[in-house]
Formats: sequence, structure tokens, C-alpha cells
Amino acid sequence: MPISLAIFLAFVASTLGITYWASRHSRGMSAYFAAGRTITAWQNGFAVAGDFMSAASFLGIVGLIAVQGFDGFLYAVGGFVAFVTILLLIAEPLRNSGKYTLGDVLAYRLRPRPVRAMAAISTLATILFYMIAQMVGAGALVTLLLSGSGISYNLAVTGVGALMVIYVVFGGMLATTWVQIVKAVLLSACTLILAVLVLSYFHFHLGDFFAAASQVAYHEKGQPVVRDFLVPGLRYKPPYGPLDLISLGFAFIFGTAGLPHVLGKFYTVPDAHNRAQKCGLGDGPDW
Amino acid sequence: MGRQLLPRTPKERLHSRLRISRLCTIGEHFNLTMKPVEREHQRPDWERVAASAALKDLLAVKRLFIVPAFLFFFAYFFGLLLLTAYAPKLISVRAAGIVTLGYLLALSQFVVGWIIAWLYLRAATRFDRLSRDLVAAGENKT
Repeated sequence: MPISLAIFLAFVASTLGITYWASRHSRGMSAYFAAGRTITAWQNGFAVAGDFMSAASFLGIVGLIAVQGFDGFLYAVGGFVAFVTILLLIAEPLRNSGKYTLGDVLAYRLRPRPVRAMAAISTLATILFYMIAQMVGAGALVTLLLSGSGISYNLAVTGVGALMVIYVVFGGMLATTWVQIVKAVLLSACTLILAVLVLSYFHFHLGDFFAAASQVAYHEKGQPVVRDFLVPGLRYKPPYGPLDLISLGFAFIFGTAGLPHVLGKFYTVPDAHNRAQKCGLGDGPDW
Repeated sequence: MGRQLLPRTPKERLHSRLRISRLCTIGEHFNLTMKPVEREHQRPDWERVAASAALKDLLAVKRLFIVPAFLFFFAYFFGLLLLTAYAPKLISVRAAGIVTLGYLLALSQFVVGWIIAWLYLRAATRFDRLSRDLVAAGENKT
């Protein structure tokens, strides 16, 4: 059995194991939707980080920086600043409300029916587009990991989707939180290892590293070109580049604070101090 | 039913702010007498709390930290984007060896963000203490 398949199966098995454990330990509504509000700050910090560090960030941002240099790096920065909005404006009121969903929070102050309908619609719309991107990424990744085993792209997407549904439905918030913690630790460790390996390639001289990034040679439309990856302009070109950038900034600063799966994590901690710590930790990596 | 769920008076708004269950508010509206006994004793005098200068102080203290902190960070991040968009020559200046000004600014976002998170952590501890004091003061008056 190839090592990639073994690692993949081990991760699937541990995910299902966590789900089984969580389903036996969570009783009642608070336990199911908010993990009984027993998650500690550090645990939830890793969980929020895990929520945010999806395949899109781990592979996507690395890819963006690799092909678009500085412009791609702005994505990494945007993913980070998003958490400052959440920390300053969103996290505390959400937790103080003592509710389970954004709909609950809004319905408390406003007329419940239309507000709940709107919250449900916006949640589903956000999740739908978010999920499509995630599933495409996950499917492509699994197909690549298990190449040679005869698993098609469609089967990979269906399988990953089914696995997600199983662990959320049966494990509730407790399982999702722990799965995200495992994921965050794994991704952080991998990123750290990769960073050290890249630096060791440059004999741990940051100057050499940036010098190499300032003149990257590759082929574009069949022509060899040398580009400076430390200056802007590889992605955001006139005439619409500037507007594109501003739109990206707004999407990050206000959009991330509306991601349902990130918001959901803020109902799981006991008090404000914990919440702030968690948010601080969630800042670490990006997206 | 819908109308009563709307927090209209300052008292009701404070209820929601201070995490008292909605049932309590509805119960009061219909003048229900079956409230839990211990709640009778522990329930702070919300009208007094709502009218108190201490509450206004607490809200002002929170605003005084959160609004400038958010505006500063918003401006800091958007400054980078606007420079990238409209002054690409400026941020392409080599500021430290080969590294450009843009890259330094982008990296500094992480530092500034962490500093704000740390400051918020300290401020939030103070907010929590103030609101606990406030609720405790309300309870003593009943």
C-alpha cells in the first residue's frame, strides 16, 4: 500500500473514531450545537484555525504566491486580517448571546420569522459557494493522493462529501471541533516542516531566499521569462486590477466574519477571556 | 406574540445584552407568577442598571477601545491595498536589501494584527470585570 493511501486512510479512520467518541459523549441541544460550551480557549483556537486553514489556504495560497508573487501574498495577509474583524466586532456579542446560531442571535432583537428566514438563506448561499470550492479542491486532492487506485474524481467528491456529512450529523459540534483541532495541528506542522525545508534549500539565508524570489525564471506562453515576485502587478493589472484589489479587501474584512462555520465556533466557549484568546490563536496561519 | 419578542424599552434591551433568557422577559410581560424562586433573589434591578452611569461608562469604555482599534487596523490594511493598487512604483522600492517596501508592509500586518489581538485581550478582561461589577451592584439593590 502506498504511503499516501495509508496516511489518507489513517486520517479517515481517526475522523470516524472522533465522531464515534463524540456521539457517545454529547447529549442534549447545547452539547450538540455548542459542544456543551466546554471547549477551552486553546482547543477552540486550533479549531477555528482548522476551520479557516482549508485546502484552499494550504494549497491555494501557496499556489497563488508561487505563480503571482506579491499579489498572491496579499491573499495570505487578507486571510489574517479577517480575524481582527471577528475578534473586535463579532466574537464577544455572539458568545454573550448564549445562543446556537446567528439566526437565534438576530431573532432575539428583531422580528423572528423574517430574520430567521433571511439568516437561513444567507447561510445556505454562503455555504453553497464555499462548499463547491472546497469540494472541488478536496476531490482533486483525493484523486491525486489515490491516483492509481482507480478512484475517479466524481467518486472522490462524493466520498469526501459523505464523510463530512457523517461526522457533522453524528458527532455534532464536539466532533467537528476535535476534527478541526487534529487538522489544524497537522497542517501547521506540515507548513512548518515545508518552511524549514525551503529555508534549508537556501542554507537558512533569508537574503538568498528573497534574492531568488526577485528573479524567478519560468515559461509563459512558451517564452522563457524572468519575473520579480517581490513587486506587485502579476495578478492585479490595470485597468481593473485596483478595483479588484479593493473588492478583495472588503471581501476579506467583512466576508470572513460571516462564514457560518467560523461563527459557529464562537458559541462553544465559556467566557469572554477564552474567546479572545482563541481568536488570537486563530490568527496564526491564514484563511 | 411577535410584538412582545421585540426588545423595545431600554430595560428589555439590557435583558438581551446581559443574557437573561427570553422566557423571563415574556413571563414578565404576561405577569406570570411562576418564575423560579431563586431568580427572584438573584435578578438584578435592571432598570436601575440601565439608568446607571456605570453602564454608560462601560459601554463608552468598550467603544473607546473597539472603534479606534478597528478603524486603525482597517486603515492599515486598506492602506496597503490602495498603495498596491495605485502606487505600485512606491511599494516596489527596495527597502531592506532586495526586499521591497510592499513586502515589509505586508509582513508588518501580521505583527500589527497580533499586537491588536493582545491589546484586545487585556481590554476584554477589563470589560468583563466591569460588567460583573455592574451586575453585582444591581443584585445588591434588590
